[in-house]
Amino acid sequence: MTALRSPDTVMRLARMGASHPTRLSFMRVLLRGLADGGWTADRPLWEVDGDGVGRAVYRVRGQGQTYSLVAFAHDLPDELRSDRVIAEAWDATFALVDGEPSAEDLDRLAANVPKQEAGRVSDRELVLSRANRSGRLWAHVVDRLAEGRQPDAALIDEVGYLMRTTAVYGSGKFGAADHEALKGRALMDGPFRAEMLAVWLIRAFVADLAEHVARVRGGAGAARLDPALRRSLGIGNATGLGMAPFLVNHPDLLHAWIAARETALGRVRDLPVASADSRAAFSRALAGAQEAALRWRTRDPVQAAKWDGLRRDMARLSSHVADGALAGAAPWDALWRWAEDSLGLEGQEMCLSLMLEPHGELVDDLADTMGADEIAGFAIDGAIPLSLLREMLSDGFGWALGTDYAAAEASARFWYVSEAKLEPRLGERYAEPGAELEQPLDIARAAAALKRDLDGAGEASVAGFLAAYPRHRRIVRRVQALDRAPYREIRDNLLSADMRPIDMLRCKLAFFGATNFDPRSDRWLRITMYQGAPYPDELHAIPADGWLHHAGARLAEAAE
Amino acid sequence: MSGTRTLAEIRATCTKAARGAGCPWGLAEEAGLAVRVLEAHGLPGVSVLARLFEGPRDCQPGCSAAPRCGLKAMAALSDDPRAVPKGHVAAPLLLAAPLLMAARKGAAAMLRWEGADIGCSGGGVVADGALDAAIAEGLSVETVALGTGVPRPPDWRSRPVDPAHWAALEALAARTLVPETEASRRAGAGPDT
Repeated sequence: MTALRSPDTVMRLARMGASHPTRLSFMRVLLRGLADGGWTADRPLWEVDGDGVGRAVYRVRGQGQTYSLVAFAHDLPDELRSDRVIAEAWDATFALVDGEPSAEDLDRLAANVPKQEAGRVSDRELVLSRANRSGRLWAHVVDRLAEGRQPDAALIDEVGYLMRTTAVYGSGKFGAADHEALKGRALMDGPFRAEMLAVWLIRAFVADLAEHVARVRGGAGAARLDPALRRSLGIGNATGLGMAPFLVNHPDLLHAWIAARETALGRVRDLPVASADSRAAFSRALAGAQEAALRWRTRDPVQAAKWDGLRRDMARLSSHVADGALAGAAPWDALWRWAEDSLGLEGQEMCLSLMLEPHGELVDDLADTMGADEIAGFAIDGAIPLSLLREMLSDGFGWALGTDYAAAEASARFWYVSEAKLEPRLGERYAEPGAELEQPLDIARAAAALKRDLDGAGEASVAGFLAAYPRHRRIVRRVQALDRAPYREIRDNLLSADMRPIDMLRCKLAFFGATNFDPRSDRWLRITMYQGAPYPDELHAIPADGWLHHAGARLAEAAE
Repeated sequence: MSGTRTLAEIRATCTKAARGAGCPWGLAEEAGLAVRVLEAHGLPGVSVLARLFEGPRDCQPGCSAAPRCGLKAMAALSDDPRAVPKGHVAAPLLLAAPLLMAARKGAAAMLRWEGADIGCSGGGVVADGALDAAIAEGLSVETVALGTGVPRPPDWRSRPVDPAHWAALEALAARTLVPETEASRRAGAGPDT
């Protein structure tokens, strides 16, 4: 088998920050699983008044399971609408219930969910979330529908969503069920499955709410959203620094996600020939991605230049394939080697994503390997000799050991948790107070510090060394674990003056399946989720996996 | 419901509390996971950790004569299964955590001190006696679980925590937070800038 890409290549921030969703991204995996598993969806409760205020329940059932999204729609004055994680009121608030909510559950949730962090849910709930309207598109869509007309497709293209979430909390936060609750369940035992299900149902609720408000206003003459236009509406999200430490604090998950994607690439590169069907599917996916990329907009000049480069790269890829690049022996491997030599980082990672598209039968099983037992490998092996630990350190962390962390630019930043917001923040070490309370994202610096103390430590066991140097416990655990799981670590210095936190966010969001990455600074960005995807009421009516993340509405339309 | 906490909340708060109490980050992470594992097995990890930080222990300055810190002893036992602490140990229940984690892979063990027996096996825990002892001596670990009775398997559900002990841990956790400054407000984190 083709060797997988080296972690020294894959785990650099610049490349992670060029990640694109693939067919192994969690939104894709979820919808594929819901369709294949014969899940059904309905809306057992809709109590929303003429002002769009009230509650609704969306239910999905399949594979012996039931989940219910409980949605609360509020009357939020314009001046309170904010993208902030920290806010006190929202246009809509949500909880995903494990099973069906009773009347008492609904009342309990009504007293807590609208308060979000200030309330508390129970361990019958899996997810807590909220969303705000896109002021511009919401008003336009509701006005047009009320007049009996369809909204302007160009404006939908430009904004992409009627509401954006400002947080989607799961895994035991604010009282919700621990992630262990889903262990062993078909489809739902996997990373962020419950969160992705909640967002998919939120999207359905938001479209229903817009149509409802238009109908109340426009009466019998009001229009419903054209299905293709409706499908082109995703759910927006604004993501900031709060998400950045996740990949550092969950290295076993990071490894599992990257290893699955890299294994998928390796399998495709190993194919001896490209069938006519797979070549056609690749070209369709590429054409869809090219069209979608034309619509990606950003105000960020750095990202705008990257999108331009990506568009040029995709045009080159298209001509290369048209010139017969997939006609020879081991064509996918040849294409990949060409891409590595010829395309930029955005283009290469897009090419990877497109190469997986035609090969669901070959790679989709890898989705089941993207969870992780974060406890099994936690204990430090104290019995190994220090000579072996030294070897592991230089093998796995060589990239970190040559930097002088006393230099200001190498330790310019520090990560901390803000007392006022209880959220992760990034400080300037030499300009702001608080560095003595920094969070342990200093992996590279810690590896170098470990090396210094190991150099003078003689030949004891790891257990003996750690008894003398307890401050190295965290990095020793990571050094040992990296030896087993090479994609666990981001191979860049997260304290560096030129580190861009959005590179971490982009990588995680691409694994979710997000698109339309729109950085608003080096530390937050807007994205769109589920754009082009089927709604619950059409899950079995349009091709289950035909909503290419790249292709958006028009390709889905073509598939109908 | 307000008196219950999820295992995720327990782990997060205990990790931060241990850091706030002065543990290095690696040991703090082990404290958080240990309490999660103990609580999942119905053992009073939250209260034991909170009381550990209230009393004297040998890792504090000028306290070398105090009982051995249960967290340090736990880490040493995790690193080396033969490193059973001698003498007085504060918060001895913590030592059951690495045994429970090892038992997941099939290594059953019995932790004992004067007044308590904790059998750890792949099927769960069989525990008896003064499990929340603040200090114990005469600790032993035998590599075969000898407990009688049916082991209690771990359970992910939320559980009640002692409000005073939880508040003490949250107060320690708050020591890891950085107060806002004008510069940090300006730098921000995301959409609120």
